Amino acid sequence: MNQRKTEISKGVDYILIIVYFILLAIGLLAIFAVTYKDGDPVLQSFIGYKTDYSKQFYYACVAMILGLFIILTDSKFFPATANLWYAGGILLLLLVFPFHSAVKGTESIIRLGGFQFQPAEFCKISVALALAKYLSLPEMDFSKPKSQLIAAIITLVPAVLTVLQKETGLALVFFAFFLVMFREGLPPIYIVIGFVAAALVITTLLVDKNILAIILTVITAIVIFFSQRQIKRDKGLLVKIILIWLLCVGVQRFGVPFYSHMFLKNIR
Amino acid sequence: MSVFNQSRSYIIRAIFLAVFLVILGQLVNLQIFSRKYHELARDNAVFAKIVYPERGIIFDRNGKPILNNTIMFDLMVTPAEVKNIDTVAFCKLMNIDTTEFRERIIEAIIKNSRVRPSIFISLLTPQMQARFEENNWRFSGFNLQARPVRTYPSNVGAQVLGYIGEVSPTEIERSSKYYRMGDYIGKNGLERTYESVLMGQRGVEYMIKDNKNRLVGHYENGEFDTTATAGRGLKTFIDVELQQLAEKLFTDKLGGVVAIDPKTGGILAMASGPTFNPNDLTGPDFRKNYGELQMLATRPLLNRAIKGEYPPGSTFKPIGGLIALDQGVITPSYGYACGGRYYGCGGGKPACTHSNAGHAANLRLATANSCNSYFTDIYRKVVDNPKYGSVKKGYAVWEEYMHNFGFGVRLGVDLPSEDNGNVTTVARYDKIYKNSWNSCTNLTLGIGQDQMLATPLQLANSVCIIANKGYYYTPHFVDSIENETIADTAFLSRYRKKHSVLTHISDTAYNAIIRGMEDVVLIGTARTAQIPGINVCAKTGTAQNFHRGKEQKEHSVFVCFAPKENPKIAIAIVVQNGGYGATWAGRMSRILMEQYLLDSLTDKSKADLESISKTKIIPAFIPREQYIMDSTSAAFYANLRKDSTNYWKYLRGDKPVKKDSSKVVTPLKTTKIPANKKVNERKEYWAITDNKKNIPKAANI
Repeated sequence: MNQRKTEISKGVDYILIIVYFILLAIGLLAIFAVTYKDGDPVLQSFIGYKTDYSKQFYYACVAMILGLFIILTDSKFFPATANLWYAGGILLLLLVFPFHSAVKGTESIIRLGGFQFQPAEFCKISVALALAKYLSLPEMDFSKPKSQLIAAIITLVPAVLTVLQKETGLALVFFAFFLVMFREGLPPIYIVIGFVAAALVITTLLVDKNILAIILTVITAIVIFFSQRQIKRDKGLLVKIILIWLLCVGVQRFGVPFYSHMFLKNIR
Repeated sequence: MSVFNQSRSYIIRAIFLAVFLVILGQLVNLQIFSRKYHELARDNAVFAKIVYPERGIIFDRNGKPILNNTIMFDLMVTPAEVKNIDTVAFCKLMNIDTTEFRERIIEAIIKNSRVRPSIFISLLTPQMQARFEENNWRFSGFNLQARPVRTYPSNVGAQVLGYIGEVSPTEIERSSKYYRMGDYIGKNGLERTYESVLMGQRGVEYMIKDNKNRLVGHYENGEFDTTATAGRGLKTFIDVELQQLAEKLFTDKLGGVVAIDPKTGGILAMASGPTFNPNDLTGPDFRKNYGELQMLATRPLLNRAIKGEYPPGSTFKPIGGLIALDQGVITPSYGYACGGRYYGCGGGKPACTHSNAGHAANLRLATANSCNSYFTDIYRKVVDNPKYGSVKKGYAVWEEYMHNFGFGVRLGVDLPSEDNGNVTTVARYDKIYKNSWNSCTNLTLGIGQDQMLATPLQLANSVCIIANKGYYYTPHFVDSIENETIADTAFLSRYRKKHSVLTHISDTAYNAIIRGMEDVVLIGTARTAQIPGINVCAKTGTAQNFHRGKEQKEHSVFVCFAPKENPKIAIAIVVQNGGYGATWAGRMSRILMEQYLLDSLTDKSKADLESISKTKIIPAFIPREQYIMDSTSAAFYANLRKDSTNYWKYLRGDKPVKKDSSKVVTPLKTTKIPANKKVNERKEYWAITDNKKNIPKAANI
């Protein structure tokens, strides 16, 4: 017993746990600060399970117990069952389509009595497990496009399903796994394209479209100016640059407005 | 892992760092640079307490206040401090029951929390206030808060001075959020026109709030506080005694009176009948009284002096004479051989009261005897003047004269929602008569009938023009504003400008007309208006009118000014459906002129005053209108509340059949009345002459 105990304490990342507790406290405080009403007895309403912060408090307790169990579980258990978790997560995601109940515009929630469950949230964990397991296969060579493709599919299937459930925000989270893949050898071009696309979409929403079009054009002109020599050698480069410029302006002019229009319509 | 790359690990760290920097940057932006939440954050700790200034006072011409302020009290409650009080005794004192007491306390807690004072009863009546003050010590948690309220010391000028009420959302919007919910604003009359002057400048006291929202002290020692500046006073031309008299004369009568000082355009008195006590619309009973006034078919809230449109009848004749003289179609010695009827258009209409030879031998006599034929004839001479080629062009010239005399246009008095009367345009006549009309079609315009409509204010103003021989000042109430600012002067300049649009009419013409009007009083129809020692010039009118196509009793109309040599007062009176001009309006004018010019009444006038103010002259259709209004609203509320008890009263002859008391009798299924029906029933019901069907015969004296 003694021996086992030390093993566990050795494997614990204390900083992570402290950060976890700090985040938990911040969340609880934030909810308390905005929902507390003048004159409510603090302790009673915390225990009462009627206010939002009380519920948050109870779930935090449940989560801590769950966390304890996870720490106590043998670490081999997770790689062994990772694919099962993943399959279960996808199954739940699929079950959402027939059994969801619409809450605040999203169709991603299953309601079981008074309990609301969002499989997309659960899938974040199962994707993490499955991807970790896949990447750490002994025979893995992530420089092969085939491996990259499989990893991308593992990540993108739940993302697509989540988008179909009108939870675009949650779906974006799955793209964070590309950072992991990048660390394991995914060509940087994907990351660059991803960030550029994100930057383009955000600036489109923030900046006036005519001004943005001018900015994009100026950037293109600068790029052409500085790559004159290469363009002289290879005329195809100029075509590529202009195509990229066209694509950016197209997205900024038509793509994003169209999508955000659809998005707003869905919310309504 | 062959592809594991240390540099990639750094890149990922850099990406995370960048994301956190962006979040941090936005936090810094929101909390330090952006002012977006500044206001919200400050509202949490600082309370901007509005200090309301006293509204300005309105004075009459002698500096006597006719609209003043007084203090009334709200009963406030701080629920947390209400402890161990005798609730039953309190409720008895305040005329409420214990359930209501509890409800109000709960409402106060919900609206304003336990620890802050809320209004328990707003604006206590003086009796209740006295009762509470005697027993104040018994009821902890309750206290009185002073609130300024308008008061009308002389009980006059309800329609002229207007009243104040809580600002409406549209008014807040219109003022670009200057006003706030719960502010009071002038709703009508001078209160509304001079709102910006009377309201003063609000002050703000910044107070610090504690965690329970109680005010604990001044913020920064009151460094940012602004003091309230009281509203500025208005000095008006109103003569309070004259105004009182005018309103007394209009007791139980419909109509309007306007008295103007022709030299300045200042309105000395303006009354509309029936009137009401303006103090009814201040203080605690505003809602109840306003509702009652609104439900009267006589519509006391309406200022008929500026919103009552009446056919001027014979009082228009002097104007008609002036136009004809100026156009040169007649001379003062022009005569018309009237034999009792006007045959110029065939049919012998209009008829004339007199048929003796020579009663219209010249302009003076024709005016004195109010000869219909004569003035019809000269009207036709003006519009058929060969100089203009066609009746339409001639009529356009006549219409231009009318506008110059202030008919058919808003004069611009300093009261809101003035009506413009009616002078029908050529285009309108073209439309009505499908382009085929001539001077015979609307010949009664010559005697102030047909479609001609004027407000008492317009009539009074036209008399001023005659008295002044061609010029006038736009009629107005306010002489000067206390501490006049540039903006005030700019506003008042329109009333200080002399309008000389009609001075081109020769003095000879004016003198002829004025002499004619003098004769009206001396030998003509207005002998009742004679005042010993003063030369009064006047013109009576007995105007035919129709209500919903049915002819009603004539309006008693009278215009006059005095003294002839140096006019000091010009009056126009319309007594709706009063009959002969001289009988009512004439005598009333005399009383008013005596009061203003002699500052006392002769015995004859005193007697007249008593008898006139005791006479009820209500148009025949009013009781019926009242019945329709009452029964309509009774039915409306019966439908609304599913309770028909009150409604039965209005079912003629039918008493409710008592079958079974538990059963509610429902006769309402067949009498569903839409909510807007009520409004329809309350259409303008004074005379509108429909000349297509009804060409007045001859009712002009």
